[in-house]
Amino acid sequence: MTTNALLRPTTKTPKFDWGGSSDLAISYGASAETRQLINQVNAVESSRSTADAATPTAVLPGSTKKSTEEMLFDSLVEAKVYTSLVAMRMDKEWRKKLYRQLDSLLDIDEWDGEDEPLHKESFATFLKSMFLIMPKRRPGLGLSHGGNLIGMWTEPDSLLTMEFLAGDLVRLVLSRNQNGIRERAALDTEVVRLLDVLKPYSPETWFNNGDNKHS
Amino acid sequence: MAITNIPDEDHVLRLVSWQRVRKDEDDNVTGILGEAFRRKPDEDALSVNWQERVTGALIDQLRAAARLIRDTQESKKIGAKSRLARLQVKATKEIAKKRGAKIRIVHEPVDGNEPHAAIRQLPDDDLELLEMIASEVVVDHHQCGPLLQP
Repeated sequence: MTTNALLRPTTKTPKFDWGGSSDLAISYGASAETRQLINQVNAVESSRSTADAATPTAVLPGSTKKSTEEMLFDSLVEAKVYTSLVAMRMDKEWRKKLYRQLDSLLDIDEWDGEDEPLHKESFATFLKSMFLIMPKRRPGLGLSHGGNLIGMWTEPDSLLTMEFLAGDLVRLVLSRNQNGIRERAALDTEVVRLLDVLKPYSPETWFNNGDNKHS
Repeated sequence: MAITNIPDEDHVLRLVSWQRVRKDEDDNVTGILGEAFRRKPDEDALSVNWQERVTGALIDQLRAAARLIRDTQESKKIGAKSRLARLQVKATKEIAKKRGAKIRIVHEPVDGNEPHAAIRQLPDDDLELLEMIASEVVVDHHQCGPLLQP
């Protein structure tokens, strides 16, 4: 796989349906619990979009654009609200750690004023990806200039980076040493395909810190 | 002003904000993300500083670069957890060439930052190249907070 195969999304991809006993869901090996979790994130995403649409957005005379601090605060709150709505399904330690990571990532003292704050659509794709992979070792978090969350796993001889895009899309960049041969890949895929796409690269190295839960 | 190519054996320093630092789930720093070498939407070249343009020991060159970059930011600040990533000019050009990109690394002084330089023609859409620069070309990286202390 090379970047020649990297396709930038031109239209919003419809959300995948994990419901019922769909063959699609079964073919990707998702458990009923995973499907339920992902559908829950979809429901939250959908309800938040409806709430946004219902919120009056008219700018009053004399009011100004949001300050960077306000934008960061809003995006942090949005991400935490998302998380809290699916929190009952998350490990308590993971939730605490995720909040801490988000606080650190969106810290005004570390903020580059030209960046866009975290996009909620990207965060929703991140949560769905995590519910699908259920990594024992969770990713470090970064942010693209454009406001997409970046998840990263680092091993001495291999790297995995995921940029979570809107519409359930994930951009992957990885490199690893496989039997003395350096292999690299970059591609876009959808959340449902993540585990299948990563399978040839022994993702357990990143996700399970050495054990073979996902092999 | 004539454009000067920076000598191959010299180095350039790229400011990497905390959001583009590679880290683990506990925020322990493990490197630099390829995203750190992607241009911002309004940039036509990647902004860097020429390390050897400032004389002195490495620590003095890093301190000078951190201050000059901070003072020429619109906000007049850079995050304490941001880092200066150091790249050798020759290694950067060679890895880009392997990927079919002919980049130029040139001295482009700006007001208040004479050692300012630019990496030109680095393709933004070659994510593998950006990651290779981050993981294979970056010689080392230094936290800005301590560099900015008086």
